[in-house]
Parts: sequence; structure tokens; C-alpha cells
Amino acid sequence: MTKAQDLIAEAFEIPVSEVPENAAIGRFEAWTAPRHARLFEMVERTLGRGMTGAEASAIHSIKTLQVVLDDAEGTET
Amino acid sequence: MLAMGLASGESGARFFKAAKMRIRNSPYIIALRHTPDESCEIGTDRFLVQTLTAEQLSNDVFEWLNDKDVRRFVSLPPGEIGTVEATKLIQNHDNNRSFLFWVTPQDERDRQIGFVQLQINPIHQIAAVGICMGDQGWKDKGAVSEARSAVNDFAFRKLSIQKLTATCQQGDAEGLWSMHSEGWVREGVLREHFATPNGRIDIIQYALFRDDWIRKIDDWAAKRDAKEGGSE
Repeated sequence: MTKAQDLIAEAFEIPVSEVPENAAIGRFEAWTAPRHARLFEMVERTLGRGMTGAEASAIHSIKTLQVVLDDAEGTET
Repeated sequence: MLAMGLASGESGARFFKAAKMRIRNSPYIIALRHTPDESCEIGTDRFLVQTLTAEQLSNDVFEWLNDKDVRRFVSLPPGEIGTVEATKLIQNHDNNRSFLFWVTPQDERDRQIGFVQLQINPIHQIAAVGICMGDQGWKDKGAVSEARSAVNDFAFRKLSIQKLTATCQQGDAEGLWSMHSEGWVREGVLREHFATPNGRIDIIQYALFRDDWIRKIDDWAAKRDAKEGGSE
């Protein structure tokens, strides 16, 4: 389980087990616009700041979300 | 006049009745009428996406055009928008190289719920697409995708545009979602590009290419044909 998978499950209000490893907008039906907006807010809360345009537009799959989270963590340390 | 006729009843019904077949195998357009320099109407499954005069706009339009939440992520002239401002806005579009399409639900022909703008650069055969779905009753019902895809299809296959571009503001989560769900490709980020009351913000630029679009349409048509063949 990854941090990205956790965040998606929480934002979408579904069990982590229901988040596919290859979840992406357009491929995972549960990834709707309102849920994306909630995920957006949760990512910003996790980062403790607003996202840049590059980060915001990179969130379209579980994989790219994890990259955003990892990069932000790497920048902070 | 054409647009008014279609929007208001009998001739509109004829327009759609005549269009039993989708336009050139389009998953998005069921009827199309373009008179260069005059008007353009695109029929989709649920909407009439049409150019209109300011006098043809319903009062609802001015409500959502002046709503601060709607305007948050849309570039519109500053200040209150009334008939005079709407007229200027519409007159900036010649229905040849630039279009301002208003989105009218087919079963509610007396009001418009949003608009789609198409600005063409004929030298490079590219065009910029902008969209605003102002009526909150249509939020999260696929209206953005349906209206924009119809305009995209018109641009690619009727006007032979080779590449479409669109932009999205960094804080517009639902706008960004729609770009990705429709298959737009991120081309780059214009950093601190727009000035807003909350400071300068990034703009994300997206693109769609004609070849990719045609491939998508062909795939759709092949699947439809296979399905229809299978059901016989």
C-alpha cells in the first residue's frame, strides 16, 4: 500500500482494497470530478501548502500522485 | 435567425429529426449546420451548441456570467456583464475564425447553461478552445465533456484544424480532471502567468492532436460496427 493509494481511498471514501494499483482518471470509474476536487484538497493539506501548477496537473493517476508526494517530501528534507 | 428558429421549436425539431445518422461517424455530433460568417449550430445527444446574438440569450446567462464562483476560473472582461457587454463579446467572434457557442439543453430551449469558445489561427491550422459551464444544475453531469468534444470534433473534422490547445488554472481541480478525462495532453506550465486577487498563478497548457482524435473516432466507429454486427 502506498501513500497515494491511502489518500485516494480517504478522498473517495472507499476501502484501500478497492483502489486499483493502476488507478487513473478515465480508467477508474470512482475517480470522478468532485472526488478529484476532494483529493486535491487532501493533497494540499498533506503537503501543508498549495500545489504548484506542475504538481496540480500531475495528479491524474496513482503513479503520478505518488511522484508528487515523493518529490514534495524530498524537497522538504 | 437560423439559430433562433432552431432554438425555439419546430425547425429545431426538424433539424434533429433529419439527422438520424451521426455526422461522419461522430460519437459527439448528431447534427451540424455551419454558415461561415453567419452562424453555427452543433447538435449533441443532449445539447444544441450554437452561436447566438445577445438578444437571444436568456436572463439565466447573465446570472451565471456574473457569479463570482463561476468566474473564478474563467477569463472574462472585468465588471458586471449585461446585454451591452455580451453584445461586444459576441461581436468579437465572426463565426468563421472565431466562435462563441452557447450551450442549450435540447429539452430546455429557452435557456443557456454555458459557452464554448473556439479561436482559430488559420496560418498554423491550430485553435484554442475555452469552456465555461455556468449553470450549477448541470455540474458533474458530463456537460463540459459533451459540449467541448462536439466543438473539438467540429474543429478537427469540419475545419481541418491540426491541433487544439486549451488552458487550465492551477487551482481548478475539476477543470484539470476534465482535461485528463478527455485525453488532453499536458504540454507545459506557464508559471505565474495570470494575476488574480490572491496573487499570480500558474496556467497549465494542454493540447489535442488531429491524428490522435481521428484514431479515437475510428476506434469508436469500429467498436460500434462490431457491436451492431454482433447483434444482428
